[in-house]
Amino acid sequence: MTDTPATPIPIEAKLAEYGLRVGPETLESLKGSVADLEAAARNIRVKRSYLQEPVHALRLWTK
Amino acid sequence: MTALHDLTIAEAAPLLKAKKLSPVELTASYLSRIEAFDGQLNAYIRVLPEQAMAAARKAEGEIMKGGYKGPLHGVPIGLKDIYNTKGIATTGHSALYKDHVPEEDATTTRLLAEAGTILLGKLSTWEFAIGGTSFDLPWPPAKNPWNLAHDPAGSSSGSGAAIAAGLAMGSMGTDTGGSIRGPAAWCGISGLKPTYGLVSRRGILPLSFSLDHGGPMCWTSEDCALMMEVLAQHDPLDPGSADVAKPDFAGSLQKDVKGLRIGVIRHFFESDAETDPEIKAGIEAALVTFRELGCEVVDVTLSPLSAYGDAATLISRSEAFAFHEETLKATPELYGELARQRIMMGAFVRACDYVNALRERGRLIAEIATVFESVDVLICPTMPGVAPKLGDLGNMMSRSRPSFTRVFNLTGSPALSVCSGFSAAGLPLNMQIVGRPFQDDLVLRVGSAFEKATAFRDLRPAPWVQQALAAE
Amino acid sequence: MSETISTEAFQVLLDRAGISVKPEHMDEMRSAYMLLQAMRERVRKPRGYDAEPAHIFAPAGR
Repeated sequence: MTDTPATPIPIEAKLAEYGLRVGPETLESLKGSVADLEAAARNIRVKRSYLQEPVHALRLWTK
Repeated sequence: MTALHDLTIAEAAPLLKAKKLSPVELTASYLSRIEAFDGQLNAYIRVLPEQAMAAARKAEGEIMKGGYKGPLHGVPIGLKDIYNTKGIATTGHSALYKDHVPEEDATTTRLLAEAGTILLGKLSTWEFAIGGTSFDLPWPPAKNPWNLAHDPAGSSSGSGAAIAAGLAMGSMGTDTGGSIRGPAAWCGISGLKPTYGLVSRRGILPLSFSLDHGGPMCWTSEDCALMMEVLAQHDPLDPGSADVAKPDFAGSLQKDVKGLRIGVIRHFFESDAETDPEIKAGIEAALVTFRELGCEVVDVTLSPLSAYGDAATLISRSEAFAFHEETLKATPELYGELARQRIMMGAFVRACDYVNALRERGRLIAEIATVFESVDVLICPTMPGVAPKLGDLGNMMSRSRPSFTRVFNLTGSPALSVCSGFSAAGLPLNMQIVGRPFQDDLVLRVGSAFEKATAFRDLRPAPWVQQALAAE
Repeated sequence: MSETISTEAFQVLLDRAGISVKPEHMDEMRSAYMLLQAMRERVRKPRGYDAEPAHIFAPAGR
């Protein structure tokens, strides 16, 4: 299994979990955005070597 | 004469240099000791006798021809089994990586080999440096040389146990939340978590990219300094590696500690975390020693221990889950229960929590920098108690356990654990010495001064040998 | 913040993350989740816009 399964959780429930509220007119357009975001997350989730590090680093030094 | 396995690196080095001690003889002595005793201790996952003897013969040849490389030439060491070794399995003590054979050495593995060390073998660890103490892995957990019924702590458990038991002269551990300093504390040795960026992480299996540190574990702080002379190198292949001048480890050890200001983070062990009276008494006695050495001792205040723990936990779980997510989903059965559960928690940290933890991290780094404007080093315990019985560590997930060590993974500060005495039951007590970034040499100087001013380095864990022999 | 999470609600979170937990470890995981939740709440506090993350991005390897 390489992909997270499509979530069965309705967007309304997700918003509630985060304490967010939107009107009904926003909800429909939000569905499209959420789908885009999930697709982006799926695309990012590819096999990577453990040698591939995040570009952000903790830097305690100056030069 | 001191037995070969009781020599420190600093004692053996001049003998090796003067050709009075042969690397072949030294390595053979360690291998036969491992053969005799490691069946009871489980410090090693894999012993490399042929390779070690070949390296010892090579080192001997080089020294005989006048090619002495320095204090680590001919010194037998062990590597925690998350340090990549070219052509030799690097398992992370996990069924998942049982057949993982790296194509190249970790940078640190290479640096130590180039310095002429002899690799005796790969040392046991908590699974992927997080899951332990576990009994459901392909190899058993290491035991504590001071009492085989007790836990050596983790995750660098084999690295700590091997040094205390005289099964290696130096070893490498890694430390994401205390995994060098914890085993150093419970095994009664010296272990340094260097400043973040001073020692390359390239080729060490990651747990949490921004909290992981590699570092030395030895019988003395002086030996750790000799290892750091070789290890502290800028590595362009590690994005966190610092391009700074190497601290003068050897030179620093020549100086005394008179006039240094020591800050005691008293609220950590008086009110923030329940701490055994014997550990506290060890700290107080150590402060008396430091005053006698001419240091000034003052109390300092930082944020509560829990503030560090919160930010560090959110960061470490997120980063660990990012690395393990796919395999955790695809083959959860290849993880031991503890690693699986602990890493899994990262699934529940939201992106905004992670970023806010990084912002909190920035605040705490600034706070400690302010405190370091008025003191040279900080002191607090490494662990709140002595080693518990093996198997009594518990899950550590359902209990709130403030950690004295994780604080300095978050701030990146150099932090050293040294033995500060022994409990009534004969188990090592511990103390942590912390410095400003890149003043690892000063931290080691303070640790070494303490070890030389006290007699705790004269006592070796002989009883474990008797226990092992009795079990034969 | 509630002091516990129901098994059902926690199962939803597990399902969404795509991970499975053995029934005998469910209670342990739920209590660990609550500890984590408490940490999240404590870290979530007012900050100025100048409170940047500790990590830096350095282009071209610095």
